[in-house]
Amino acid sequence: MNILDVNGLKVFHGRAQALRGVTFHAREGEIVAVLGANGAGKSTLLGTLSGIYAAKAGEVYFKGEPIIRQSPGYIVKQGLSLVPEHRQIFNDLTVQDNLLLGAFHRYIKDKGTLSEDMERVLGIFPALRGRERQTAGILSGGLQQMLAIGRGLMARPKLLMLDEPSIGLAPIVVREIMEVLSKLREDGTTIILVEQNAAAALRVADRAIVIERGQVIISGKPSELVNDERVQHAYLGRTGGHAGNVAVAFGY
Amino acid sequence: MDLYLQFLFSGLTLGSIYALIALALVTTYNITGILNMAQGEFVALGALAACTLYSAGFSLPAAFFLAVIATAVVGGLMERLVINPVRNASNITSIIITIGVSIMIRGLALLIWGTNPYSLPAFTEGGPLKVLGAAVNTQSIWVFGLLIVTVTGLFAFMEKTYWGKAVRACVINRMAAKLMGINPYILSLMAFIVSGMLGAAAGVFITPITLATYDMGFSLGLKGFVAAIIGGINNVGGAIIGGLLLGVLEIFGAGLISSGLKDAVALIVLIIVLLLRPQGIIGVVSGRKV
Repeated sequence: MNILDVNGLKVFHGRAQALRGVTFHAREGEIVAVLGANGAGKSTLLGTLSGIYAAKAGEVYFKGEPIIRQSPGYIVKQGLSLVPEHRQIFNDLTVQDNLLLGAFHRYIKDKGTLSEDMERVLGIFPALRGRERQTAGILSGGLQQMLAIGRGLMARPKLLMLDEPSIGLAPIVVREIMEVLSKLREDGTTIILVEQNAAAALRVADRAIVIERGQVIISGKPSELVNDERVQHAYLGRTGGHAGNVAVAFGY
Repeated sequence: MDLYLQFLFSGLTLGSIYALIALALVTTYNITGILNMAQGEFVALGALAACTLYSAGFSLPAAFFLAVIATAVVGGLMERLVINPVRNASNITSIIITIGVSIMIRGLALLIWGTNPYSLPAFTEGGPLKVLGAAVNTQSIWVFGLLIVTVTGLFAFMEKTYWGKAVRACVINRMAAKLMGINPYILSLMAFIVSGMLGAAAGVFITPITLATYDMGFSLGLKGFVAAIIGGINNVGGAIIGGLLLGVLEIFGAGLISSGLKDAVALIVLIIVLLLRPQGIIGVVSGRKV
């Protein structure tokens, strides 16, 4: 069953069209990688799905319900959570407060279960344990990313979307985060992973789509994508291709 | 020496009012990105409403609470009717709208209350207290007390409660706060309601000392604005220090040089601060757009 269906999504930033009719879906319990060069529209896509940007046209169904043009608060309550680009944690607040605020939409209802959920997040990211009272802004980049993901998990999402979680992180931390994503999938969480680091993303993904200039140009299994010329082109065309050697990275 | 001490106490009283207005301005600014130039009118509305209620036979506390509630309603209505509908406009548009609201409120106040000053009795009877040889009005102590209670309350809310942390989250990162389901538009409404309450409370507390007139809000709002700029427009602690400092400087300027200089002091201080330290004495440079 598809947990998310996106049809013909069009989004403008002012006059510039960022998405030109994006269509894709995510099945329950899979990891979908969304690849593409800088400015291709990946972040706009996630921002629109989570209600930050308003779509001009198109349909979005989450668990069969339309969520397009709903508020971010409504969408997160339905179980769709975004871990935004560049972490966007609440710098001046403590790690604990960041996590607790992740559960904002259900705070009144579920007050009793929050410590349990926080325990679960600390179990997933043991590196955060013992730092609950530290100010989030002084954490290292890797820990901040873990905190941002943890904060997203506190919302108890059915579908977790991550926008470039690997950006600026050491390879070992990237590997750790990707392992966590695999583990979350095993627990039944569906994941949409936007990445510049195509090699890392394709390693964990079940399926992948490539976006170029606001449109999905390819979708398929990672094994099909790594050798696709158009994937290489999508990256090489714009960024000079740090992900151009996708196939090499895979040993194909 | 006694004279200086006397100036200091008077300055702190006046400064407490400036600090309260600046506090409301900064809090609203941090949450909404809007400088509410009608903040001073909230002070006038609260003061005038309390005077009318008191002369209509309400007790002083009842008049105080009703005036605070009424002004809170005005603040809330202002947000719903003119701020929220243009929430996607630039901040400068919103600021100009608040100036329009302030002119409108002042005009209505003139129609309702006329140009005569109104007064309220001091909250506690009895002559001035002698402190270290200087005479301190009991009402001044009430004013200072209001500032302390407000600051303590605000601090406790922001630092200790979940909802206060949600407000701070919105100030730190509006986009991320939205993603958590925190609604900035509700916070914006709350900010204007609390601004109305704070302004009205300040107005009622200062009326026994300065009297209330329909146009008192203009100068108070301006001073509160200067105080907020001195402190660094987004800094709560800076707003309080800025307000107190401005009050003290004004009284010393008026007392030692010329009483005609009182209002000029605020603007001179503003120019000096903007030239030498545009981020405020406490504020840090921030490129953040709320």
